[in-house]
Amino acid sequence: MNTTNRDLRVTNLEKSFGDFRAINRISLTIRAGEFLTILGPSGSGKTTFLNMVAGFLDTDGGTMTLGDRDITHLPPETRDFGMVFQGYALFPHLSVFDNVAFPLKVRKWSSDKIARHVEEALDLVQLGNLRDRMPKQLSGGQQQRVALARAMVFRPNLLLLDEPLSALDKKLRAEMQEELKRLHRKVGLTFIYITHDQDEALSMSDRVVVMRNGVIVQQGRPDELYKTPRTSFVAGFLGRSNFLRGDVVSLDGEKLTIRNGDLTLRQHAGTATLQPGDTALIALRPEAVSLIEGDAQADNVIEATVSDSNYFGSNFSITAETDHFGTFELTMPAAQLSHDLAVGSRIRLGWSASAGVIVEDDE
Amino acid sequence: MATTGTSAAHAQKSPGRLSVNSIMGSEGRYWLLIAPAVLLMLGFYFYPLARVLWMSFTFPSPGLGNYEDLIDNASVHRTLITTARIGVITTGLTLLFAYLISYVLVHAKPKVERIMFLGVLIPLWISALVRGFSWFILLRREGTINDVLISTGIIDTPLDLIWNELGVVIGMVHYMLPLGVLPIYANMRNIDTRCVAAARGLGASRGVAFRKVFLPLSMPGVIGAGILVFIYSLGFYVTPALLGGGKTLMIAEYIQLQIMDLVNWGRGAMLATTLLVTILLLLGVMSRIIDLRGLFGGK
Repeated sequence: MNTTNRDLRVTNLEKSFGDFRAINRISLTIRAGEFLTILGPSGSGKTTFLNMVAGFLDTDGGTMTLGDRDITHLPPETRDFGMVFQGYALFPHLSVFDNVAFPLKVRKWSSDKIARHVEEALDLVQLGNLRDRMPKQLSGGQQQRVALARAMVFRPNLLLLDEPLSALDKKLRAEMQEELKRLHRKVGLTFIYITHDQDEALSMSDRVVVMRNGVIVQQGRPDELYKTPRTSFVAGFLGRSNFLRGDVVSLDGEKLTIRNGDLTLRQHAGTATLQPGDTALIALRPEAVSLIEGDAQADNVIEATVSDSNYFGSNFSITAETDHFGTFELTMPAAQLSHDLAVGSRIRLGWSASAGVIVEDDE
Repeated sequence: MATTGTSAAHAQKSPGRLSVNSIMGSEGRYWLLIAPAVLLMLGFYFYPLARVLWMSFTFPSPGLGNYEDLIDNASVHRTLITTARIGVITTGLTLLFAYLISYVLVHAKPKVERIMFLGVLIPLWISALVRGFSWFILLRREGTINDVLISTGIIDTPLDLIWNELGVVIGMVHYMLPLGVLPIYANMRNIDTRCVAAARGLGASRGVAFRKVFLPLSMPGVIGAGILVFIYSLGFYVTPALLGGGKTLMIAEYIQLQIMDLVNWGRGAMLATTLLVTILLLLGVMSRIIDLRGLFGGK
């Protein structure tokens, strides 16, 4: 089968509930075999989007095509999409085996073919020995695996996952993340994964789409989004950022000079088009900031007072008060910090002109 | 001296006194709280009931004579069969309508649902007598329904909608509907709507998703409603008496006839005993098959 022919193409999708615009003209192409994560806070429209893709919600406008096929107004049962629901939605009156067999039975497969495929699917999620249990006799993680097996057993066109890990505890969640990645590699199915958890988005996806207020704010590979967020919302939602505001004084090729009071900052412009006189907003990751000691040099140096210091084994997280930008966060490997930073001590913070990113202010 | 002696006596628990706790365990005192109600029920409900039931073995002469009627008395047979038939038909129709109403209720918008739910409950607060007489106005030969049908030319001669089994069934289904709706509705409310959505997403059409997921998940409510309505129907008096017009005799009216009009206490008590034992047997059998405690909220 031609892989490009299985791409899901969404064009100008719209949905309103009364006066509330849940989805505002979204266009997106999901490539066959891709692990795509849609990341957004609650109310961003990500679940609405998923329900429209699945066919549970009708569209107010726009189209959806799968390969050459227009699926915009198809009922859910004819789309052949697997879906894992928040809270799993296993059928409580059916055993594990019958839950997984359900999509095959409604497709009227022969019973020995059903048995073979169900066994295979249960083995894939390592639940072969629990086939006769009822859902309520299973732990959260096991229910999750049954839901996955059920959604994949009929070889769907793609798999939709609606915050599937949100009900699990932290350790189990990490295990299931690994499991999902393994399954994705193994079956090569397109995954559309909905979450509000940035760690899940960063660690699992081929591509992340950040949604907010019914529109796509930015999309790209996880490292792209993390390194070069386009707006202050993305910079703050995906990982943490310090935000530095100042006026552009001059632009020399790539190099911007930005002033805040008596402080001058050097900053690479990146893709931003700023002119002298504009206000610039720089997003600076906590790990891009370092301590300046002795006569060490950096493009930008500011003074600060330590207000809090937390040790996390492998690294330190330090909060400091600065004169120009208020509270500042920095993290550094514990091995680099030779001495304790007492609360109240004065420190100097430095970072290079290429460490920060100019972002659009959308908060 | 005297003060120390008193306090010493207090400190030492007197061995001769039995506390409530020592007799009934630590929960004994809570049983005391419901003792008046239990005594009242025993003295004014269970005792006279037992006396009446006992009469079926003692009146007019001791023995099982009254129970022979169950085997060889044609009018007793007719009454029992009529009762069972009307009970089954009423239960079936009530479950069908109650299921439809509940289904619409749980799928309606919250505002509409509240108003419709009130529509289900209000009849429950109106006496069966008033509701029975209301059906007169609608169903009798010169009633509203026949008037409309004749004046629009659909029929020439009025239909017999009352004073027969049809009238009894209409009145009883109407009376039983809230009793059928409540357990079914309560059960449907607890069905995870995502299960039905999941079934659709997994390839089931609307009909298949309903048949394979929603319907089985709603069965506990249907069974509960069925038991409730059937048991109620068996012993129902007012509506059959009003709308049956004396021709369709159900067991409750027949008992009343035996005791009040024919002063045949023996046969009346025998039928009452039969009814009670039948109901208890039914409950016993059902509780073996399904979890009754869970059904009626006992868990």
